[in-house]
Amino acid sequence: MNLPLIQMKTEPAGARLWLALWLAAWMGWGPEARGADAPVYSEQQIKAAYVVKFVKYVDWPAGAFAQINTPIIIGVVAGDEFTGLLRQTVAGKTVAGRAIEVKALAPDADPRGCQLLFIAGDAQQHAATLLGKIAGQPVLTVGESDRFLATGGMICLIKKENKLRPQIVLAAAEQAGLKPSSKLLAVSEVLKRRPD
Amino acid sequence: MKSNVKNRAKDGSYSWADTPIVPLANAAAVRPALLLAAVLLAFAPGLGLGADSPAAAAGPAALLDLSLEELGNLQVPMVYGASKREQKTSEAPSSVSIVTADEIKKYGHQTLADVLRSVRGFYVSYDRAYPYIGVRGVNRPGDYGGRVLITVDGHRVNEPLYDTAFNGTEGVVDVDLIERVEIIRGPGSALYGNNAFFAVINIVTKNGRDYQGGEVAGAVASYDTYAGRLTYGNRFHNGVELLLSGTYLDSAGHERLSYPEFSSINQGVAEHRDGTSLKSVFGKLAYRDFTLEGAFMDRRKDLPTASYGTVFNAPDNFTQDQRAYGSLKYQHEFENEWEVMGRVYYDHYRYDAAYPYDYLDPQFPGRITSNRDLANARSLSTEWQVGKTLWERHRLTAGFEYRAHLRLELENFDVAPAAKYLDSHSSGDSYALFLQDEFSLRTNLVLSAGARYDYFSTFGGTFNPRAALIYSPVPASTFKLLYGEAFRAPNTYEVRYAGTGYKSNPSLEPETIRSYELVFEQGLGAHLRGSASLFRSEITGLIAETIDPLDGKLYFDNLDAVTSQGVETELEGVWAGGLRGRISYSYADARESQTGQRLSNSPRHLAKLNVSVPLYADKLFASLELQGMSARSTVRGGEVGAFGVANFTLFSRELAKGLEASVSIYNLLDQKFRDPVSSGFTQDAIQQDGRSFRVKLQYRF
Repeated sequence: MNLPLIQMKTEPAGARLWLALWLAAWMGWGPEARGADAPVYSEQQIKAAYVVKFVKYVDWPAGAFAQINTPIIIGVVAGDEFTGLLRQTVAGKTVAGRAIEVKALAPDADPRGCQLLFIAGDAQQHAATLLGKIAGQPVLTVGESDRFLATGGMICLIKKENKLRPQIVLAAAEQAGLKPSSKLLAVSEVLKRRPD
Repeated sequence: MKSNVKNRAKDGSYSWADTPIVPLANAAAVRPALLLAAVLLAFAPGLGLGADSPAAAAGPAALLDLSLEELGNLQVPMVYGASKREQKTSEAPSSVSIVTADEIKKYGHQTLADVLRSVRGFYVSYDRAYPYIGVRGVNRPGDYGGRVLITVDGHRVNEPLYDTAFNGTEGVVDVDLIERVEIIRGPGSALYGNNAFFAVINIVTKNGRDYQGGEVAGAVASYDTYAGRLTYGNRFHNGVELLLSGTYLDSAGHERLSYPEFSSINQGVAEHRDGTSLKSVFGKLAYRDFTLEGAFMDRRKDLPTASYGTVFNAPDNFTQDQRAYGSLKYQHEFENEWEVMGRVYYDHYRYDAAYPYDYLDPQFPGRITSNRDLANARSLSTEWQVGKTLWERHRLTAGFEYRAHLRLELENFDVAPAAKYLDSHSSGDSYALFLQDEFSLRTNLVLSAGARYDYFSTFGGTFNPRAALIYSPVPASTFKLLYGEAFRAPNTYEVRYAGTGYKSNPSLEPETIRSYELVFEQGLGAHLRGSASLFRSEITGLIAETIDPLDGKLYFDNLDAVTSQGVETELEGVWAGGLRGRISYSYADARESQTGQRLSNSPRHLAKLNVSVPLYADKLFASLELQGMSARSTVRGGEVGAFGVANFTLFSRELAKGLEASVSIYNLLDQKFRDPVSSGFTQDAIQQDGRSFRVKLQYRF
């Protein structure tokens, strides 16, 4: 018994023509292939977008920047792939007149001088040390490990039901003089205290 | 920088009627090849839906044009069960559907069966004892669902006596505790062994941290149904994570069920014979690399149908299932990137059924004898798995499994006057080895190949390979070319059952399937995703219930080969603010290979629509399901007609702090429809529920 769907012999020529056209389109012969508009975003891409959004939706205290046009520095303790993705995401972007710079950091580096520090899940074992070095300073700390907030981080990007939503320990951010906007808080899961 | 993502979001307000996929819904008369061409065209990037939107050069930066809320609504569909590791569904070597906790709530699904009814290509039929899962046109009456493997957090749930795929009120886990259901189509024996024949359904449960305290839920539903659940979950200071939940359900069922086949008794009405009572407990305790998980479920269902020649409308006709397991899992990723998972578990299944018979003894006219059917299974198993990426391009996973069936018992006897018909005690064991390699030939081309060898002390060894070529020419498009083989071992019931009206068949062999599939998945802008798949499955030695004309007894045999082939298409959309939906059409042609005769209980067409619309902020949602099925033949050659069912749920959350409420109306239009049942029934088909409702409240504290 043959699969009726590919029983081409008995099918009208129209179907064959359409299939051929379709194949041609795929192979790039058709009208303008538009492959680049990737609608299926990866987890890493979404996380990178969030990190940049945080810069926009968090207020730093006046003293956090040397000058009015000092760039915002995002320190990243992560693999090359994520760092590269983040660089692509921020390319040419400014927030309140400030350029955004992405700085790759080694796990044992000194993160002081950054306004935002991202610690990848792979680097969670260094999180306590890294966070210790900037305790009390106006540095927004963002992570992805499920232990990140317990270690003292401020925002964690957690996947739940196939969606990525930020979890925020508001008290931790406020202690560092940072003010997440109400818009950010509205879409986040706000934790009253650090989880255990 | 301005990109087109937002514009497309606006342009993307396609109504369902605008999309070329809709003609599929009434496609009965359309030639399948044209259909396929239409579907493929619809998804082709150069010619299809995307053609009216300007070409976009949208890199990762395009995401910045989405609002925070839209960002939080993007789907990152992940699946564990397809390769026994977490991966994106588009990269999985199967056609995968994911149903999340959010959808389960919004659509008012009460059981796993409800979830599966909403999924493309699946259908469920019900005989008022158990629901049975059909996939791709195969759902043989008399079978308990053993051609679909159900796992909870990777733990096998099908029991070894009947292979029951618990999915109704007898489901092992309350659907409220489900984080997501992974529906992985196609043969999965290369990873899972027995029962992973047509599909693997992996239930991923919630964790203690998802609760941070207690939760109580209560529901009132039609047919005097009352259900309650109490759950506590948390993660403590010391890193210990706990989830503990108990569920109770009591339902009187239909007051009156009418079966004209029995019109000589009580005018063919079964009165108060449809009750259900259920108790279940689920718990999970995790610390560092260790997880202890346990489940217990006990359900009793009264049988109103007088199946297996029992006395109609007699009391004490019920079936009771008790399924439990305890599992200790260790999972660790070592510094050298070796991932190791080990698990030991204990499984328990107990079945007890009572069948009232009138043996027409002339000395005792009208005397009813209670016949009891008992079954017991206990097993102890262990499972080990290691994974590592080698030479950068190979992701290897290897595993070992050993299962000792300590007890496999089937009993059948009359209570008074005492008579024993069956007393079968056996045991057995099995072991298995598997290896899987996901080989990245190029960055956009992956060959996933694997094989598993299973050895059963009862019938010997079986080897099952699987190979998948996954090609993603552009990030939005994925092609999957799949081949797989799988088996289902004859279960204890099929081999050894010989009670009233049944006889055993010790020479049964495993049934096998060979499956070819081409899957095409296409993202369409930021909000839509389409998929189409063509499949062909060849089944040999299919085990099915039949009647020996010589003695009129039922028994199981490796019957004719079956070929099932067809197409599944789906379009799914997710928009900002919680608007989401999916529409699917599937065609399956399942026939006995030799006679060319269509299988019973095999609808050719399935059409489904699920839409959830936010009415007020992120707090109030209206959700509608439409499910249509074409006609099916019954085991005796009759036919049940095509039907369509609509279910509607109004769901609210956080209207008051911690409170969730929902109102559901099932079978909104009160459609009358029937499901074909096994030859053990006098009826050819069983009438299904008409319009019914449920009100549910849940409070978190």
